This record gives sequence, C-alpha cells and structure tokens, in this order.
Amino acid sequence: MAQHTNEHLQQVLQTIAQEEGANFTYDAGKIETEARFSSSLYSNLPIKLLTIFGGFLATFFFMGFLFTTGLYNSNVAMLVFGLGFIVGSEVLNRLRDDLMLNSVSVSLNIIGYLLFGMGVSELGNDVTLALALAGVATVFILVSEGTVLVFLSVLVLGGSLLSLPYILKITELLHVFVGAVTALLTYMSLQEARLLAGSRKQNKLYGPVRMGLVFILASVLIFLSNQEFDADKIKYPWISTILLTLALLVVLRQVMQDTGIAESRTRFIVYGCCLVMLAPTILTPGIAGALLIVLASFYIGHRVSFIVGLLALGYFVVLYYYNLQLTLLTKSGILILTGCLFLGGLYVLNRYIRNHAN
Amino acid sequence: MQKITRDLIYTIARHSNWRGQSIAHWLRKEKVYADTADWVRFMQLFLLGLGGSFLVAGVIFFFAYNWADMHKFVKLGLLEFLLLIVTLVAVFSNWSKVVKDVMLMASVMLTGVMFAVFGQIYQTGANAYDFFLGWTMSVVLWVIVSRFQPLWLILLALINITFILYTNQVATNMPFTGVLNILFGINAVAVIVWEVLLWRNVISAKHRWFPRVMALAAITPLTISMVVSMFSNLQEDYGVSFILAALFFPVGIWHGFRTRDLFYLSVIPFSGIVVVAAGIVRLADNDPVGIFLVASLFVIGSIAFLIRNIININRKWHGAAH
Repeated sequence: MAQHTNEHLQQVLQTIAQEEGANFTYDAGKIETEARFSSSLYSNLPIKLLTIFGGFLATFFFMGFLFTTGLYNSNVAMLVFGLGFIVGSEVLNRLRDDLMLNSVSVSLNIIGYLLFGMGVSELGNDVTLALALAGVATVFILVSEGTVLVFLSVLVLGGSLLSLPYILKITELLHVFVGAVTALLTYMSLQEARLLAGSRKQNKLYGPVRMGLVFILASVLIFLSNQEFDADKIKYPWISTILLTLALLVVLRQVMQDTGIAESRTRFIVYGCCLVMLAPTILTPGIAGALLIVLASFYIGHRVSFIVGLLALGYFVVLYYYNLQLTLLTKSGILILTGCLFLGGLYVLNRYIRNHAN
Repeated sequence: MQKITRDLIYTIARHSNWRGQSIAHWLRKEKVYADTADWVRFMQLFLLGLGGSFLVAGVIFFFAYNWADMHKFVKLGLLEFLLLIVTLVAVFSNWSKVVKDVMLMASVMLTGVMFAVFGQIYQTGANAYDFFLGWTMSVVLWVIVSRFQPLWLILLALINITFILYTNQVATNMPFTGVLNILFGINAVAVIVWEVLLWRNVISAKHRWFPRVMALAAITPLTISMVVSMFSNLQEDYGVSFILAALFFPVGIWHGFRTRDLFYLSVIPFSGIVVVAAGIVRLADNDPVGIFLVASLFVIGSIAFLIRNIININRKWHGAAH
C-alpha cells in the first residue's frame, strides 16, 4: 500500500476540485491528519488482526478473572457489568485515535456482550435474549465510531436475528432473513460510491457493515445447507436460492455494463449459463450465495471478502456433492462432466476474447 | 504518481462534499475496482480451477466406488495411463505456464489416488503413513522443478501428514511436545529455504503467502509446545521447545528487520506474548483470582506496546523512503 505524501495528497485534492467545480469544499486539515494516520499503518491488515487476536486473548484471561471472582453468581451484576463494558468500550475508542486503546476496547466489547447475554438469558427467555442483544447492537451501530466495534455489533445483530426463526420454530422466516441480507449486501456493493458520498457516519459505517453482512450471509447459508443444523427440516430452500440468484444476475448486469459488453445476445448467453449452472443446486442455496459474495467482492476489489467468498464456495460445493443421494459412480460421472463443461467454458471464453481483441 | 488507495478515497469523501458519481469514476480510474482485464483473468482462472478440480474429484470418486467387476490391473492401468497422459501434456504441450502448472498439480493428485487404489486392492489401509510417504517421495521432483507455489504447499502438507501419521502409527510413544517441536522444524526449514531462494533471486517475491502460511505452520506448534511443556514442568521435552524458540525467534526478528517485513515482526512477538501470559497463569497455582487479571492486563499492555513499536518501525522505514 502506498504512502501518501502531503504533496501528492494536495495534487489529488486539486485534481478533484478541478473536476468538481466551484461547489467542492473540503477540510484539508482533517483529510491530511487521517491520511497520515492510516498510511502510517503501512499494511492495515496485520495490525488489525493483531488487535483482534490480542483482544480475544485478553478477553479469555479477563473472563477467567471474572469467573474466579464469582461474578457469575449474580445475574443482575452480569447484566450491569455487561452493559457497562459495552459502553466503556465505545468511550475508550473515542478517547483518542490510538491503537493501544483499540485493543482494550475490543476485548471489553466482547466481554460486555458475553456478560450481558448471560445476564439476560438467566432473567428472561430466549426471545427476550435475542431481542435485547439485537437492540443493544443496533444502538451501538448507530452510535459507535470504531471499525472493529461496529463489525462485532453487526455480527451480534445478525446472529440474534438469525436465532429468532429457530427459537420461534418458524424456520421459513430464514428465507426472509436471507433476502434482506442479500438485498443489503448487493445494494451496498454496487452503490459503494454513492454511499460514501453520503454523511460522514454513513461513510464510516460502510466498511464494517459490509464485511459483517458477508460473514452473516455465509453463516446463514451454512445453517440452510448443512445437515448437522437440521437443514433438511427447513422448508422451501429454493426461495433463498432464487433470491440469491436474482441478486447474482443484478451484479452480472452491472459487471457487463462496466466491462462494455453491450450486445444483448452475449448478455443473455451469460445469464443463461449462470442459470443453467445454478439450476441443479436449487435446493442448496449456499452455492449461489457464495458465488454472489465472490463476484460482488471482486467487482469492487475487496480482497478479504473475496477470499471469504471463495472459501465458502469450496465448502458449499463439497457439501453439495457429499449430500447427493447417488452412488459414487454416478457422482463421479457428474463431476467429470461438469469439469469438462467448465473447461469448455474456458475455451469458449478464450475464443470470444480473441475474436474481440482483433 | 503514486497509486491512490481505497482508504484515501474514503477519507477524502468523508471530509468533503465529493459527489458519488465522481467517486465512482475515481474508484475505476485508480483501479481500486476490477477492470475488464481483471475480469478476463479472473474468469479464466476460475473456470480453469473449477474444471481441473472437478475432473480430478470425478476420477477420485470413480475409484472410490471400488467397482468390484473391474480387474485390479485395469484399475491401476487406467490410472497410470491417465497419469502419463496428463504429465506428458504438462511437460510437452505449448500451453501457458498456468495451464501446465494446473495439469502438473492434477498429476500430483492422481499419484495420490493411485496409492489409495493400491491400498484399496491390497488392503493396506488408506491412512497408512507409508502411503503418504510414497506419495511424497514420488512427487517431490515435479514439485521442485515446477516452481509453482500451490504445489509446494501440497508437498509440505504431505510431509506434515506423513509425519503426524507416523507418530500415530509407529512412533506412538513420542511425547506430544516432541511431535510439535519436529513439526516446527519441518515447516521452519521450508520457510528458511524459501527465504534463501528469494535472497538469491531464484524466486520472485511476488507471492508471499507461501512462506507466510509455512511460518504460521511452524510458529503455532512451537507456541503450543512451549505452553504445554511449561504446564508439565519441562518433564516432557526438557525445554527443547524453549531452546528452539531461543535459537530461531531472534533470527526471524532479525530477518524481519533486514527485509522490512512486518509479518515476522508481529507473529513472533505475538507467540512470545501467548507463552508469557500462559507462564503467568502457571506461576500462580494458589491464587487464581488475581493472576487472571494480571495475565489479561499483561496481554493488553504487551499487545499495545507491540503495535506501537510496529507502527514506529514502519514509520522509520517510510521516513527513510521519502
């Protein structure tokens, strides 16, 4: 990742100002400070990972401490401490833009949610727990400024909403959940620029919320596809597949628009291939979902979520063949045939490129 | 002109009234988004990878079916024929390097299938360590010649599996920490070889994920080994894990400084922090209440210290660059 020298930054800002005209206003001081702060991290990912792993490790020991003190004997105490830690994590995070405080704040946040959850679960029933956690997480997302903290809260919110269909024993609601997450993820991926141009808060939320949605979508798809979670008891899995496929077609449409594929014949062939490929997997929504994550992330160049998508795709494809009720010989035939189809696709693609390059 | 990162675009958008349309234009212009060439490359690799793995999986399933009517010579012959064809095409065709590499990878997997079928016919069991040893020995030359990093990873995975199975099936009385220490040794050698080859310019530094994965595969068992041997009062391995760490960790840190690679500078200290934190808990058998708090404070403090230092070091490196 390149570092942005001040001079370079000024050049960029001037170019943008020229393009935007007289209406363009910006806070040069804040941009400079932030750019210096983020470029001083060189590669953000190792430091972020270190913060998160350090946070987890500290949480682990601190939980050990809390339990040896006998805090778990009192539900009210757990609830109060939990809420206190969640609030405290945000306060610490805002105190200063400092990674030192970030690692403390992340671990406090995790402990906060755990204690709060344990406190509520003893006092109320499961629905109360899910709703209370969802409520706290929502408020936190609306208030917080920290990237990792918002990401964790998105996971808590998604997880608690995901548990509701199971608690209420209306597992069909999962399809509504999938639909909502898919729509949000697709919208966010295709409209990144417009969302960034919105308010400062919206701009700050974009990254962690999108990342959280990717993880939530991947986990709900695991629940819908893996037999260990009683996936076969969930009725109408094809609803989710159809919703995911629709989103996939929307992404493909955008990609083709951007890459300049204008002929409607080519477009329909691409849509057709996609539908034909996904048709046999209609009862396993995971494959369409993972493909959506892969394509949407590649489109906007988000490396981490792209890798998550690829891993998910591998997992769901293996699961799909594992669950097929056929003899190994038939499976082998299907696999070889599909492999040949993909290689055939590669051949056609290469020919298309060669023809259009001339 | 330097490349503009996504982060910078986010920052500018956050503190200005930059229009969405123009942001989108910049995201494309600065190649944060995938362009047509990226998509073509992605589709080619995606189709090739999927096609190749489906074909190999199909072959594996075919032999796993264990067709009773098929004579054992036909089974093995079929596989050997397939192996021969794929390898010959990989060596002598004039396709691109990537396609040839993928084909060689298929050959490596087919060799494994051949050993498995052999095990199936002669009832040696599919997880016998000699089966993996044979597989490793048979493909090692291809892996070295190909210079294809995914293949190196497969080879190292095979060596690791062979060794773990060996300790499960033959050397059953080897202590757990001993197994972990040797795993560290195997993977550390791989990292060292890679780094030496890079230093000698035999390979390019373009893909750094292979040494990263191997370094993690080396440091993780050694860390576990140190923690375990601490709780067993060094009775198991007589402190060998600590000696290994004392020998290799400084080298890793030195190398990290020399090549300006933050990876080693973060992973090795993190391992140290885990070991010291476990040591703190180990020291206090009698007073567990306070000690957990001390351990957690230690982790927070040391991680913060580590991160701060990494940032400072990084700033220094960049300060030198500009």
